[in-house]
Amino acid sequence: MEHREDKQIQKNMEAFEAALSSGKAAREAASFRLKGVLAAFDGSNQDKDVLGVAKTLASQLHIPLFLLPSPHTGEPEPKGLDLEATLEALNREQIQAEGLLHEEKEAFRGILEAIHRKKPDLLVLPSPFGHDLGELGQTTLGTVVEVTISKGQCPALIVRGTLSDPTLYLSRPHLIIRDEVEADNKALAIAEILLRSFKREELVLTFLKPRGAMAQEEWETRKNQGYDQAPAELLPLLEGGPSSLLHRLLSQDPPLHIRANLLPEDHFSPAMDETGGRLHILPFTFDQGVLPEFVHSFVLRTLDPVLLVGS
Amino acid sequence: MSPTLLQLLFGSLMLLTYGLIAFGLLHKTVAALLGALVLAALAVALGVIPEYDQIHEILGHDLNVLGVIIGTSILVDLAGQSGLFHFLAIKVVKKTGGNPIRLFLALQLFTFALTAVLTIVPAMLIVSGLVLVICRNLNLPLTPFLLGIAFASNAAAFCTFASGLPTLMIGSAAKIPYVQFLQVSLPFALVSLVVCYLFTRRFFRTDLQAPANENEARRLRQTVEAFDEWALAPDRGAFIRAAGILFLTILGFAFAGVLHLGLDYIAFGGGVLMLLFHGKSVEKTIAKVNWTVILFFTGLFIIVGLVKEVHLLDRIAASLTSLTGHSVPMAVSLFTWFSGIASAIVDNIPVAATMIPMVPGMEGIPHEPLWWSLVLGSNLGGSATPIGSISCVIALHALEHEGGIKLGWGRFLAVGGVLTIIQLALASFYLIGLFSLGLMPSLS
Repeated sequence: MEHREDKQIQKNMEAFEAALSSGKAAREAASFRLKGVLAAFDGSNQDKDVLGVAKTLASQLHIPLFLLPSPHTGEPEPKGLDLEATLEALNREQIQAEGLLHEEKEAFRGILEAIHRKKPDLLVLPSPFGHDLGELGQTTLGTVVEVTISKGQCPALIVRGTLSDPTLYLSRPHLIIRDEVEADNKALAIAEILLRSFKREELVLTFLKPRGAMAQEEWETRKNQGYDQAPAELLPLLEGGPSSLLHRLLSQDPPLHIRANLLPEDHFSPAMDETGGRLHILPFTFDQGVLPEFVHSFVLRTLDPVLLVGS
Repeated sequence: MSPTLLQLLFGSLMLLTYGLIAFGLLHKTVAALLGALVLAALAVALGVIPEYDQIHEILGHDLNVLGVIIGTSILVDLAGQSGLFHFLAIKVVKKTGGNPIRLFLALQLFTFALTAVLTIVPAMLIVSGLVLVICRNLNLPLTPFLLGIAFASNAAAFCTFASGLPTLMIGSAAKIPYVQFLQVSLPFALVSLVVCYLFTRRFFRTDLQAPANENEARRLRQTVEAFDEWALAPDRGAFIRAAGILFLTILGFAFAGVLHLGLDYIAFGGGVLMLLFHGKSVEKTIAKVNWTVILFFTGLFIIVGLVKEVHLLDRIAASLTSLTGHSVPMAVSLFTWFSGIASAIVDNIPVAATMIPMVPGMEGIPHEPLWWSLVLGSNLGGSATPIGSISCVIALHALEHEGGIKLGWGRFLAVGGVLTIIQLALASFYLIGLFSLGLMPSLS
């Protein structure tokens, strides 16, 4: 048998395996529900933004909200959130909220313990950027965030900058698709939940591809044509990604208004393009249990909240 | 040199080339081209042909075959890229609910249909990939499924004019109208498929069992239902365009005679339409045309053409005519069984190429039943041995490399050999019956 025929069988096998895993991921994602949100605070000025986002989510999705204040540092005046007052205010707004306390000295252990206990489907965290983390803070997400996300196995919404109106961001999801089958599907399912909850009909998609994924000629004609392209034009770029779910969204009645663009992975900056002012949803696959470098640099390049969906 | 010596020399060189191919001593394309080069040089030197230009004339008679291969190659490759065939394959598998017995039948039916449209190689490459994934995920035995689809593919290779390369060559040489394939060979292809299913189902009865209980049935169903067919066909526009062009091409093949067009024109038409409306990279697509097969055919056509020039094939045909005593049943049986057995040992393409020029030499016997004997025999014979057809070669390669199972000749002959004997016997009866009852359409 010819070598090329052997290669073709391999290629067909890979295609059918991809169809199988894509289908499994799509099915899992389709049944995904947000049933609880955990907000973790760190005693910084960003606590109020974290609370704003978590509260908006809990209120719109009608799900319980768990509040986890920063660990007690031994200082006479605890910084940040006043748990009792906050719980009272939330109850007045008819949001089902519960305060969690922990004895752990390290913040990430407290968060992991809360995830284990309450099993939230979404975690809201402050970004370490802007904190006094020195050089480390400028180049990485910080130990708490990284360890929490990688060990917690729970989608994490990282609050960046100051959000005067969290609804503005949460109701306008921007989904980044990088051919991460499982995570893509889950991320899309979350985007759909948000759109439905906020009664919005527009989803913005960015297809990020490494330059080597396409012929130079095709890159030049297709890249960065703006976000007014019909998604059907870009859907063929998916490689076993969330095609099923996307097709379902496109064919639902009334159809979801999807705007899409294709950008090279190495030149994409969420701070520079027209998707700013949205909730960026970034699916990724853990690289041997740690966050890929791409995730770090992405989060640090935007001032918008970022929802990380790992698989 | 005397005519007999010339015939002996050219005949021996042709057989030597076939021997190199059959025993895998040289790549079949290299062997065919080498044979063509040697025979062409001898033909010029010994005055078999008056001048070298006659080689081009010999080749010119078969340009339509090469045209159909190139055109359909482009068409099938681009249609395949749209995910159309993978999509249909998954749809078929899902319909079975993962039940091994239904799956066994569905995969044979699907391979049959796909081969009828695409020819053996593309159909087998798609379905064997699917079988490997399905069997791995459902914990099903590979051997029955892979052999089953290989035999079903051989049964489908004579459904229509363009279903198999030997069929294409014979159909071209005999100028058989497309519609006659639907009248004569398609019904028998369906009979062969039924025989293939019943025989393989019985042979592998211990391997193919219905789910033991409801839990097992549910597990199988859930696994196949998890397949996302749309993941392989993300561009629905391209998918629909590809299906449309493919359909138009098949329609074109059927009506080519009415339109006074050649099948190569229709194949090229389909290929160009596909390049226009679906071709992302024209150069890549054209590079994917199976040039190995084109060059193999080129060499083979020259060899057979030159052997014909020394009248060796006419001589054999005359001997065969006297051997059969001008009896149609005898001639049909001889052509069916000889082409079948020869195809089981050598590639069926050289067998068809060599036997095609013999049919016009069978004087006093109607040619129609002989052409059909050749069509059925050369395609069915491929199921008899592990090397008889490309479908069996692909199935056994997949079985060994992906499943780690090496199937010996003995076990293969027990299933493939016996099946081929049944199918060849039925083919002989079918053709003799059809001719005797006056139901065989004549070729004008």
